[in-house]
Amino acid sequence: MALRARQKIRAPRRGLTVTKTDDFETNWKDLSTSLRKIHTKDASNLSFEQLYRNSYNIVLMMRGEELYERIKVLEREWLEEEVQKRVTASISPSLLLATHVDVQDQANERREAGERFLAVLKEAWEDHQLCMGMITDVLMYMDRVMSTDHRKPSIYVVVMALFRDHVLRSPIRPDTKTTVYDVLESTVLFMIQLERSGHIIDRPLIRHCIYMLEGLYETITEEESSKLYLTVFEPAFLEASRKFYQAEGRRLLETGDAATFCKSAMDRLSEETERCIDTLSSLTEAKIKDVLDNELIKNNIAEVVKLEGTGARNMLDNDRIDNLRSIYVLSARVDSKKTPLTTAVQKRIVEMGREVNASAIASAAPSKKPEAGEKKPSEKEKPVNLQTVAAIKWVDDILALKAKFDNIWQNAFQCDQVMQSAITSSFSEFINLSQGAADSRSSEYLSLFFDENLKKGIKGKTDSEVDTLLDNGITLLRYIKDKDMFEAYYKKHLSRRLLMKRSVSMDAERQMISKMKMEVGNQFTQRLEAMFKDMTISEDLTSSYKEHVRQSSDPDQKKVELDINVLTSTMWPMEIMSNVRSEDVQLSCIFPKEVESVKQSFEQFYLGKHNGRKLSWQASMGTADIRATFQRSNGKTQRHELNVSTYAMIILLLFNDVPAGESLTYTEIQAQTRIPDHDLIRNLQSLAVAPKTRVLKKDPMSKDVKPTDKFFFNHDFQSPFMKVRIGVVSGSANKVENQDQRKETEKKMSEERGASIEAAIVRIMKQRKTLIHSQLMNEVLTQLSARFVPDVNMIKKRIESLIDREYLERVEEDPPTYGYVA
Amino acid sequence: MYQQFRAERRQTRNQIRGPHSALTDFLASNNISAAQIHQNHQRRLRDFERQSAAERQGSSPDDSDDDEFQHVGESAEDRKKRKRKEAVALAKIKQSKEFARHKARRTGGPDDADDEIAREMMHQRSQPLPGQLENCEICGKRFTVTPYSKAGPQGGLLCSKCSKALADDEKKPKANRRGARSGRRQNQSNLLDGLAHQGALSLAEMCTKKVADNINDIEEFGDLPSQLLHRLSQILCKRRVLTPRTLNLFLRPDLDSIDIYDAARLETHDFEKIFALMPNLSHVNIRFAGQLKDKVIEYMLDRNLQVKRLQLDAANLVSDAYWQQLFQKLGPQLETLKLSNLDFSLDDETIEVMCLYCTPLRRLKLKQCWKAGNRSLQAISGLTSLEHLSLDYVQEIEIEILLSTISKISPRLQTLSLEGFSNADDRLLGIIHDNCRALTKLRFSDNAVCTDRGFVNLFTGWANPPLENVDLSSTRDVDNTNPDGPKDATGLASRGLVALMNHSGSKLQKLNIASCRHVSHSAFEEIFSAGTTYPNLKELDVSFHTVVDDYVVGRIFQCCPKLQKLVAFACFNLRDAQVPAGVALIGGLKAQDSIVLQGNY
Amino acid sequence: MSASKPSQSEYVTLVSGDGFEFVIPRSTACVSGTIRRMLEPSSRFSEAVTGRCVLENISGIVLEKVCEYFCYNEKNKNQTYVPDMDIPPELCLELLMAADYLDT
Repeated sequence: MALRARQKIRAPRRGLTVTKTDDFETNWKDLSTSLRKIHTKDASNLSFEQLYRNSYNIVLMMRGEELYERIKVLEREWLEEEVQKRVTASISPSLLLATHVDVQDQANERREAGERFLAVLKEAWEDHQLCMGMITDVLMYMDRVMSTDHRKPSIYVVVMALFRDHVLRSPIRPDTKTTVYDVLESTVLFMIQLERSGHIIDRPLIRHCIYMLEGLYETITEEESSKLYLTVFEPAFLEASRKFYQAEGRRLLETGDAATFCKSAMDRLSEETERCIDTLSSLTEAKIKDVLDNELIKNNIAEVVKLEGTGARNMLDNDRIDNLRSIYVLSARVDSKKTPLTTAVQKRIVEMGREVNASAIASAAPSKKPEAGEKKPSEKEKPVNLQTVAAIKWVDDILALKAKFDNIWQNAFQCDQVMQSAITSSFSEFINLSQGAADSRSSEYLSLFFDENLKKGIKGKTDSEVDTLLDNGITLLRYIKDKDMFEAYYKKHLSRRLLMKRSVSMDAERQMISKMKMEVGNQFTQRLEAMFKDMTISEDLTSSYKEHVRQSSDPDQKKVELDINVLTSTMWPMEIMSNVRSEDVQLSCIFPKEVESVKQSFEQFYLGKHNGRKLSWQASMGTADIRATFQRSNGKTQRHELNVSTYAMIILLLFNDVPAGESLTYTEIQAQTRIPDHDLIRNLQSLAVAPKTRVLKKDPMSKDVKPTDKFFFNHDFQSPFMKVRIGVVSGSANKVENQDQRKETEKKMSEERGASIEAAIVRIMKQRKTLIHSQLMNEVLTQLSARFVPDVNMIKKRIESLIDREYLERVEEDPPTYGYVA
Repeated sequence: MYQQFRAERRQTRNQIRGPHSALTDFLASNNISAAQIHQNHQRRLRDFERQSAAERQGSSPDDSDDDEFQHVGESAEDRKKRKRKEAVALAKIKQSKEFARHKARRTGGPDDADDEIAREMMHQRSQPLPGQLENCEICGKRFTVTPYSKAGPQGGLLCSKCSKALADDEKKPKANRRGARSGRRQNQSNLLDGLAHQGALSLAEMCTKKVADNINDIEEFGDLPSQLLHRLSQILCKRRVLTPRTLNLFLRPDLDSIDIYDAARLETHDFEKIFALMPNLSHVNIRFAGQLKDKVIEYMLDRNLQVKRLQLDAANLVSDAYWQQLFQKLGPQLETLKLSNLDFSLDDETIEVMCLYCTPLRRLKLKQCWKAGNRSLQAISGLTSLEHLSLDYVQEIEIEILLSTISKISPRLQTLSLEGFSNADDRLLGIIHDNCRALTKLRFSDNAVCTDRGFVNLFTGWANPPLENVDLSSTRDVDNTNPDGPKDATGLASRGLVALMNHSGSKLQKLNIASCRHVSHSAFEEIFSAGTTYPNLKELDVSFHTVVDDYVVGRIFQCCPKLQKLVAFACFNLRDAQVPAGVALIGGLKAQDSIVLQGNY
Repeated sequence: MSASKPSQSEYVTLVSGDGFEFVIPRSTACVSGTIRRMLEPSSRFSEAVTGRCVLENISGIVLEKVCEYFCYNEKNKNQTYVPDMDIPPELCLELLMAADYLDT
């Protein structure tokens, strides 16, 4: 063991054959001739090992640095004497012309010269790279020592920098400052110019020259950002592009066709992307797109959108989805808000909306005086229907408009959120636009639309059709700001449908309510739902009352059957609840005694069940089925079942006690029934004036009813039907309100709103105790915005009133602050 | 002198009592002392000896030869014959390989122990062959010996039943221990050195180790290139075997550089020898140069060496006068000067002389030079060629002087390292931000004044290209009563780190943020969020970041594909991170865990 | 190019300065950075063309050990904690020199 350990450790010698190799100059001579051979592509006879060993030996002689320097000199000489000369020789005079050469054949000549030059340069660069790769490999040992011991950059890097300085940046002739690079730049830019104007160029060739610029750096440390491509070429390219696209933008605008502009711009965009991939460098893609965005699109898009006859308006009107898509994509590139386009779209929507509004008014126009109700019924019927038709047409038109823009939004605007909210706000704008002098009728129109459909429109439609119909309506509801107004109308119309049993399908009604609930919220539909509830309770009540009557009363008594609807007064529309004008206290009408007894019996029954409630009878809303016997003059007797309003029933029953041939005057009837004047007039009109339902005769025969008119029972009443329905003129059908009614509705509305506002104020103040005026205003506005847009003045008034009533107090003046008084 | 020192130290030690261990306390409380245990043990040994001697005398009073007491009753002739046979067998055994192995196992015995070993082996061999009958050592039953029969605790054979029982007792733990232990210590040691690379070492590295192993058998290094000598010097210094003898191997007249990382064993004349034998020296790097005296400097200067790069560490026997001479003479040629751990000389005046003469200096490092103060720092601002500067002052310096010096030289700096300038404030960072344009490495550590905002400002909109090496360790608030630090964080904290990574993440290779303790978990999550990569980061130190947990470390591994070394001492929330192959996770609780787990008791 | 393509055989020959030849898989030989570049097909050096590398300044004994290392390296490519290869002490300096030369 000891023997083994003591074995001599042989000291290594450089090379087994220590002969000629110990001399620097010999080594260098071998090496340098071989390196030249590499440059002249004559390397296959060279042994890598031999060259490597040469440089290794030199480094081991501690002459590495000298070798490094000599290599630099060798390479510089090669580049200067061979490569640079070859490259400059390939530059023909036509390449040195100014950049803007438009003459066609000169351009061709220049292109050919350029391609020759680029090809030579490309080859020079690729040779240089290949040879330097080989040389660096051979000198690897030197490189390792130089970079670790002497912190010198790799020889490869150094020699690449030499190429930059002694080829690219060398003057093309001794007497000029123009360098090879300058020629390269102008040539490449010229080629790109050619391609932009539709010529075909040799892209791979240019790409290879660009590779060269990407492989060369300004600094020896080779930071990414110091690539020649980025420091020199790219700025020049972008500048040239900027100029080109400025001109291009002007040129395209001059053609005056928005569609052409959009198409060219889109084409340019994809062209430049392609150019960055195929011809230049992907590093530039984002930057050149910026140039396009700024120079071509941003500067011009507003004008393009506005272009007379071809701009956005024209595209919208003609549903040019493709063009709209382009213009949208372009706008979206430069402006996340797409201001010019949204403005144009919004403007157009409002314009079209106004047209719809206007046509609705126009079609309702024949009724010159909305309060024509005082005129003859036959004349009056028509205009009112016209208005209703107009309302429904209005809704349909808006829905059509909406469908149009939805289509555009989906297919052209890529479902863009900004566009959607712009469209929505425009719809909402014109829908809530006041029409002429009057306020918006959209709430009423929309409610009428629902009314119409729920009464007739949905007959024979499938569930899904009904569903879409209702959904369409709901979308419009979304646009309506004063939802409370809509609620009021809907309630009114609904109550009529319910009480008069005019609804086609209760399912559809309920569906409608749940849709509204989804859209507007629980609070909104509460009262509507309560109405439905009243209806179901009333049904039960009626049947249990009938049961009660059968059990308790005298079975022989000729009895009047009663169907009753007990309505919770707060939930139902006021005009139904207080049809009687509230200001002059009027006694309720006098029922005939048969009816009166039934009424009393029911009251007894009901109040026995629900103690402490008060029933008030709304005769104006009821109907009655009565059997009438007509004694014909020929002695025959004709019976008809008449379906009439409660008032008409009361009137007709009066004639039971009137001997045949006798008459009652208006005043007499009035005195005996205490029916309010206007109801009495209307009922008498329908009984005595309406041509098909003249159960009474009137003297004199005229349309107007005067206090002195006499009424006879008309025994000669003729009808082909057994059952005759005698409608009351006006009031039973849901129609557009006339001016007076509207004023009335609005007045009620504003009272109700006042109450809502006060409630909101008190709610907020109770929670906050003290609050600055502006904050209070804000909170009130946000709380109520779901229902309606409160008037600021109204809020102020309400605050004042609350202060007067000592719910609130002023705590401070500056800023004005209120406190809650508990 | 050394001995004397040790003796003194021991004496002082006797007066100072170290803390008792829990075991000492327990034993003392139970009236047990080490001395008592020792006495008891000795007594038991004596008793046993006396007893066995008595037994021997009783059983075979006539036989004095211990070895032969079992062969009672054989004839003298037989005995002779047997002895002869035995001698032959012993001689044979002694020549065998197995013998050599046995011998190697018993280290340190004198030569005459050979016989003993051989005899022991012979007895082992003479155990019954398979097929013979034998009495079991434990239960005494007679059984047939098989090739698989086991030896008992005293060397006799066991019956199958007893050997099975024995095997059950022993086998498992033994096998396990051996399996688990192979190379574990070495692996852990490598891990702590940051070595976790895959595959074999390079041949050069392996040979270098082998050379170091056999350094005493090597007479010369031959033509070995200097970078290999450098590596050998490193490894020899690490093993502390760079002696005057081994130094000679490095002294080759053709070489121009010398690197000695540990010159503590060299004598004065050894240093002179370096300069005498290496006339071409341009690069001198000698650390722990305790015996490098004035006269060595004088000798070196007389030799007219072309030294360009000079690094001396702990050369405390060189006086200021000689330092000044050195600077005057070498000044015009010195490119690099690195001096460290000087507490005896190199005062302000000397450094002023240095700055006066060493104008071409490109690289300067002054670390732990006790006598250097404000004046020296001011003088450094005159070194207009500096590209690399590394300062670690012992004395408290005036912040204004630091600021003016840094602002003068920073525009050209490529590396800047400032350690222990505890009173530097955000203005310094502002100067770095405003002036530095070429930095690749920045170290600024041990500071509790600069704020997170300062760091954010430094790294935001900085015209300097991304840094490659950053060390901002121990920049944090140090108020033990308020461990979370003030609300506007002091030192590099969350926002500063985010700004740093935004600025330098793409190029960063080494990052040390140890003890920057105000960095939040969410900041780490942000920095190492999915999709981010730090393509060049190789080394990262996040020690003393208690927010770093398994999740963050997992993210770090995902975001840093080139990571080789992650230092995470005292990251207490780091419990069970999955470490990818090729990455060394240093510190952390896992290192200890694995030692315990693999011990497998 | 055309000449080098067919010679891209799986094995290459390493020749020591004193004439010993070692035929080893190409991939194994390319553990050495120097040999890898020597055999680089895109360069047109004679070694790349012939697949035969004469290493003038490495002796047969050392080259044998080097080849052993190539195989050892290849075998342990993706393993952690690789045990060191056995190197005879008397060769260690020469081998070190060769390893440096071959960039291994």
